[in-house]
Amino acid sequence: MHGLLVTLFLFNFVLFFIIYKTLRRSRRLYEDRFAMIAAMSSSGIFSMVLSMILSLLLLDWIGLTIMIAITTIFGSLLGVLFGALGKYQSVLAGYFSGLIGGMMGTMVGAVVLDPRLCGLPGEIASTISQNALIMGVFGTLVVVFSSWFIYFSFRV
Amino acid sequence: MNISMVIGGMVAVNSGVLLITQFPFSYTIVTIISAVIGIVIGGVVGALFDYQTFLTGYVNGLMMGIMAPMIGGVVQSNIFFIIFIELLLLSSIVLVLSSIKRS
Repeated sequence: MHGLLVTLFLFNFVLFFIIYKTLRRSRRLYEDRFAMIAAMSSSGIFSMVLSMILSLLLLDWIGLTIMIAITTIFGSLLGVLFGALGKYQSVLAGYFSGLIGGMMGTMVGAVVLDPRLCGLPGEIASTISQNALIMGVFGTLVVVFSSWFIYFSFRV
Repeated sequence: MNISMVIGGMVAVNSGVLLITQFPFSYTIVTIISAVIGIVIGGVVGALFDYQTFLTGYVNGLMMGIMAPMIGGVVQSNIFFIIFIELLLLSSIVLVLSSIKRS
């Protein structure tokens, strides 16, 4: 399970770099509204899925508190990175969206690994690893579709 | 933009809470289904206007749909919470309809 999750994490990271380079190459052509919406959507989705896979990988080792601190800082940095392509209000929008995405992704990973956190009935270990794999593949599919939409939004 | 955010988010929250109340043993499938419902509703309502509005409704429906089964799991099938969240959906629909008529 861990090998496949590491592969999915690296794949998402490569997609993040491709989208960031594409957005950076044509940053002279933006309006304010498009810069804000691109910063919000891409930073939210990428920080959510990356922190979800990261917490599925590392949560058993380092605990929930340090994990939420790490992913929140990571998501806000990613949002500032996306928002810095536009003006200052897009920096603010990207920062907020990335922070929310980081927190929510960590909570999704924690609940998938241990459903008793939310009052749901607990499950056996093989089902939990299967669920972690299903959530990782679903997150990767969401990232692929949304990066295709963001890439396509330059043409419109 | 605001109409697509409100409608997609509220429909996703409702479907997530109701589905996790009905099927508490399968958290993963319920999360995926409610996220897909939020994506489809937000995207369809947003695509009425613009491409960027479509992107906003898509992202907001996805976030709300992933968050919703956690809320529904924590309240543990309380009937008052379900009635409250249905009233929230109804009031947001009334608000959206009045804002369409006003504009």
